[in-house]
Amino acid sequence: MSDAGSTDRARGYAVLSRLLLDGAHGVDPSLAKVFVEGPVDDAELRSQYVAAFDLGVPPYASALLESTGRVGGAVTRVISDAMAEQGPPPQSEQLAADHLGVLFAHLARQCRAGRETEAARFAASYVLSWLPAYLTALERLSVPFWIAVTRVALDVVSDHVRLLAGAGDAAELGSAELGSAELGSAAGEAILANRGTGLRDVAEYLASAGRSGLFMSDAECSLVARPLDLPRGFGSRRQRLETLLRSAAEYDVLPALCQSLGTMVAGREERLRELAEGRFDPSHLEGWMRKLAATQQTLEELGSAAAGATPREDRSSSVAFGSRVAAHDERTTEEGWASSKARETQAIGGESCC
Amino acid sequence: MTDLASRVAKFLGAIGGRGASDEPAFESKQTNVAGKALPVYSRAPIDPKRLTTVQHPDGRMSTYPPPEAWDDWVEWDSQAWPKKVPRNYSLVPTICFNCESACGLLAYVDKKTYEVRKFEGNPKHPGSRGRNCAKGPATHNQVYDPERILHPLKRVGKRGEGKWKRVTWDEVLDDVGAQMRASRQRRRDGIMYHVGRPGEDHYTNRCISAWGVDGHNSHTNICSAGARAGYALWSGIDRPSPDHANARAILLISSHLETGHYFNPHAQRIIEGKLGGAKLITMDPRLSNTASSSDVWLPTWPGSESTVLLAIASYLIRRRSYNRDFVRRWVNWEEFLREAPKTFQLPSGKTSFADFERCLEELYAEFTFERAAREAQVPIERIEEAARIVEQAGDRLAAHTWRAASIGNLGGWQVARCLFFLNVLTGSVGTKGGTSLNAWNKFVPKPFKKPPAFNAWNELHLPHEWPLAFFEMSFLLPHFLEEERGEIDVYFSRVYNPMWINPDGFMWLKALQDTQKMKLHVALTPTWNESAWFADYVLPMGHAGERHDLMSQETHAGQWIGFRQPVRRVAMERAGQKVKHTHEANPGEVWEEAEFWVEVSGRMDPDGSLGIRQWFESPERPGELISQDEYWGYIFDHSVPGLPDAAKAEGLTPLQYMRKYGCFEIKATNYVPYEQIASEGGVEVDGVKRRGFPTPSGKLEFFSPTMRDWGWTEPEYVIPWSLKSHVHPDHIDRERGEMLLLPNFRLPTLIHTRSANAKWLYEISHNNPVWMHVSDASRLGVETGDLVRVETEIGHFIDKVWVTEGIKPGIVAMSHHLGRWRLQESSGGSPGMTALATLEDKGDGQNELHIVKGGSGWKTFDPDTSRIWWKDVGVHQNLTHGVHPDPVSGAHCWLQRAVNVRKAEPGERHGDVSVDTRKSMAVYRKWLALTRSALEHSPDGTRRPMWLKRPLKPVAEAYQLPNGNALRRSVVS
Repeated sequence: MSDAGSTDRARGYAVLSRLLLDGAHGVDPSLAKVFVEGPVDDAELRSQYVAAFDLGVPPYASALLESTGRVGGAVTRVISDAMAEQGPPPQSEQLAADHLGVLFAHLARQCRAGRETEAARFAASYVLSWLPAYLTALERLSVPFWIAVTRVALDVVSDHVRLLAGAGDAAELGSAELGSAELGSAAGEAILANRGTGLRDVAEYLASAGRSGLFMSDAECSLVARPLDLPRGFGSRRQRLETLLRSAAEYDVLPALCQSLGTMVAGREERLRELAEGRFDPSHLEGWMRKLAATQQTLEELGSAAAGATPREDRSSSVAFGSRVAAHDERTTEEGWASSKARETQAIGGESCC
Repeated sequence: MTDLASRVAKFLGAIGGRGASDEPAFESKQTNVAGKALPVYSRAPIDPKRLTTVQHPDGRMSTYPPPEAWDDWVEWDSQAWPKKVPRNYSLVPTICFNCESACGLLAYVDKKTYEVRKFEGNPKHPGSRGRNCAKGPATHNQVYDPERILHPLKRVGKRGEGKWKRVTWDEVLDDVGAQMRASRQRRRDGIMYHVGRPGEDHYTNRCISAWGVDGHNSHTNICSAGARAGYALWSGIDRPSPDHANARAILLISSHLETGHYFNPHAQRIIEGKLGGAKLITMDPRLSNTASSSDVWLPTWPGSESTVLLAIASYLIRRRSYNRDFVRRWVNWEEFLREAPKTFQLPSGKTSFADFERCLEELYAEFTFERAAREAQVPIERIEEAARIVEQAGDRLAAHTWRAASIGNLGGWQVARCLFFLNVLTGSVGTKGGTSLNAWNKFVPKPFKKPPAFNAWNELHLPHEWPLAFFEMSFLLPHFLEEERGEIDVYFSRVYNPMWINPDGFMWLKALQDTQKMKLHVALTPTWNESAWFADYVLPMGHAGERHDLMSQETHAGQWIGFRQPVRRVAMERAGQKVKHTHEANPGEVWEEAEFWVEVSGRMDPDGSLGIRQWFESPERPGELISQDEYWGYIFDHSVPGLPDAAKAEGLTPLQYMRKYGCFEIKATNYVPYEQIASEGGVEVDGVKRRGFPTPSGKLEFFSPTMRDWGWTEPEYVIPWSLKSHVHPDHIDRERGEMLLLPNFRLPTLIHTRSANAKWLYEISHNNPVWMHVSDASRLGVETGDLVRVETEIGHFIDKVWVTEGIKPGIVAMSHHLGRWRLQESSGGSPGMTALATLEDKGDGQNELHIVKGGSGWKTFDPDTSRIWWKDVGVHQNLTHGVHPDPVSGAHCWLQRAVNVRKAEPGERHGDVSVDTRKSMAVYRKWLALTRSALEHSPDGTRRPMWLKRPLKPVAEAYQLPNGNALRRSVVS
């Protein structure tokens, strides 16, 4: 723990809050130099801001923790209520309470009021519970300045949370994640155990960081698709992932895709461990690790099943993975080509392999 | 100290010396009192309230909340049903900003959250009387459009690359103001304000005048130039104002009952007229809803309308059943008789009205019903019936043409001239049930401190080839730039999408990408559009409930003004909150032009050295810029007759009155004002000086000396006559598979490029298939839903076909408005209303547009956006239209010769567009050759007749052709 006083810490949170909230309007060059070396270009920083937070990884707890990924649900409500318990929350009609900048504004106010310990508890529960996972997703984007800012943010929060150990509040250190009772299971899901699971369900699962432990931005989705000559898709992240999975099944590269995604998951696990080292108790990551492990398992099963399936042109005699893909298509027919797949399914039967 | 601790200490140390600006953003009072980012359907806490009820003595139900209850109206929250949850609303009137009708709206603003719950009609509005079309209430959909632009954006990459950064309004004002200043210091034709439908009546023109530049560039030449020229040559006033409600006969060219220019206000009055016994005659090659509701439908071949109208005129003249006294008193027949021997080879020495009547009969004898039936390809009985109805209407003939045939055809201005000829013959000019002129029914108040006229003439606006154009030749701007006629320092596209709406869009694309010729492009727009994508700045401007404008329209025989207001701001101010700028109250940082112009003009001339700043300074606070309250307060105090008294009667100031009601009726009726006795000026009629008409003669000019003087000396140009259209049957070789493409009929639910952000409207109409008659479909072997390839003079497009009996054989028709696209998946337009597209420049002028993906649902805070069940969002046909500038009116003649129409071949995909811009320039030059330049034909060395309107007239000195030969050389070279 640093020997920062509560005023210093309040200022630190305030500066970070303002950066995260107003960075799109520009960053004071002298402040920018605190985070990166060398000359900084204001336009570049603003452009990076949009790429990082507007288009890349939304800086909301909900984006990481909600099963839907949508702001305004249970996560927002729990955080908003927790804030209100500590005093009047920062007034914003434009941003939900679980925006990282709003959370830091709240922490700044608490520290300035001398409630550092209460603030640390809040930080442990409502920031440290997702910020590391958020950072691992952000680090996949080409936004070096805002990655640097977010790393500092993680440092400041981690350092602050260490206060709790000094305050004899060690119990907080091990349970610092949003309550599972309120926000659904923090454990990994075995979605393939359900016979009705189709590729759309898998896509929905992967698109939800709150369920899979993995936040894949649009850019990452494209990076995975490109080496396999798969279309990068359009629309929402769920839609893109579904297109990716469907295309992979269509072109018999689903095993390779699963392997590629598995490598990504392993990388995230590794990076999370690195981030914890020297910063905070790894027990903060237990929920994330469970989810990532379950996702890894899901991908392996899916890949194995796909690898065992007969290639598409021979699928008429198959009862393995290919038929399952087709069965899913029948259920979700939207396009002309899907209709033909549905007819194909009727010919081969609809047995589910997973 | 651990690594972590030292890193944190280093960080805290580095920021240690920083001042108060590092306070958290939310630590102080919020900067945007009404919500800054995406609008949310936030809810106020529920208080126990009683529903507001209105009881009438006779037990009627109340149609609208009465104005006395507008400050605090309580009604159940519809979304909370079946629970009865009361909400308190501040009802704030405003004016619709979609089409040009200026209908009244009433915004229901939640008093706790300042969110707008809905827009309904304003019952106090004299034009719309509480009624609205679908576009009015859909304003809510536009305000809460998840894809709308909420912050000022500045281009980061190349033009069109789609990279933007957010900037502050302050930065915008500094940069744009500085570039305007630099331009103004160099020249007076470097700033161009290119406006779509203005939706306001004097404010911006005043600003442009104050800048001292010839900077106004309108969209009129792709809209109403033909009709304006026709009406102006008759009367000096360029718009008709039919009194449908009191008419005995209503004669419409095109579908004004369902979609016309003043659609909602006119439609309700046409219905009233019909209920009162009026007969409805409609000319339209398409079986529109208006045509189907008509007593007589004349499906005329486009371009034949004038012939049909003159056949009716000839019938009245032959039978002497026209209003002979009116014609004698108000038509410049003496001038005609003086000219007749020269131009019409008529005997000289004729001076009496009887002589004139005989001339008329002789001149128009060739316009028989038989000829009209043959040219129009309409049964003769129907034309005869129409003539009888017109004859029986007496002086109650309400007639209207605006776009349609007047803007469709070469010589379309004569359609308006021939139509008004019937008004003149029947004496139904400005009468009850007749057709007035807009200046009598539209009221534009004098502005606060009127700047003087500028001394400049922008040749990119009104070049010498079109001295009579109504008005600026705006759709030819890219062609002029291609010819190196000039360059633009600062180009404002204002709620306008020139690349999409104008013909020959790939030429616009080229111009918009050219940073040398168009140095700074500032797009002022409420929503993304194709042209804004290529701008340098995209500045979000408000919708109907987010801006100040004053507006009046000639919707009927009276006069009124309507006040558009930022409704959240007004509701907040009613609650005692202070708002300095409207963007503080609007969603995000959406602003309004009225305040933007003041502020940017202040930055343009910060020290007043250019003489500009003085026009934008407060009358109350010397040296400071004027506020909206001060500006409109002054206008309402000084320039609107009757308003101060009406306000006083309610214990209000005029501004308070307008903020409360949103409108004011100046005159309930205003018939035959030209008959008023003139105290000065005017024209003598039967020995009495009367107000007359603003023409050179003061009378209605059957014979146009102006046309004669400016080189159009042939008889068919100087009197109402029928001109041969470029799509006359002689020019369409149907044997070779050629057809006529009618590309510009309107839909009642959309409005050009302004409504592609309203899901509700797109749910009603979202595609523009090719209408084709069953006989043509059979010939081509296509059925409804098949793809057809329509080839124009410069390219082709692929669209679905709709086979119907409701279109004349030989014609294919498509509606305007549809076929919107965007170039990025996640930006540039709403996924449900635009197609994702690619543009390809294949070199040598070959340009292509391909659709990657049609409309689809998308997830936002608004669950409705996921409910997109259509994919076809139309085809952008305008790209394939060659430019057709009429040599007189300057109108783009929209009708196209479809040189080939055939079933699409495999590989040709819906929405594909291909254009050869080398052919574009060839078509342009072909039409350019039809013009008669002021350099050769100006009778007095001026560029344009002084008496003809311009949106902004410069000083007389600017009308002088500077040096004809030099100008010609520079243009030719």
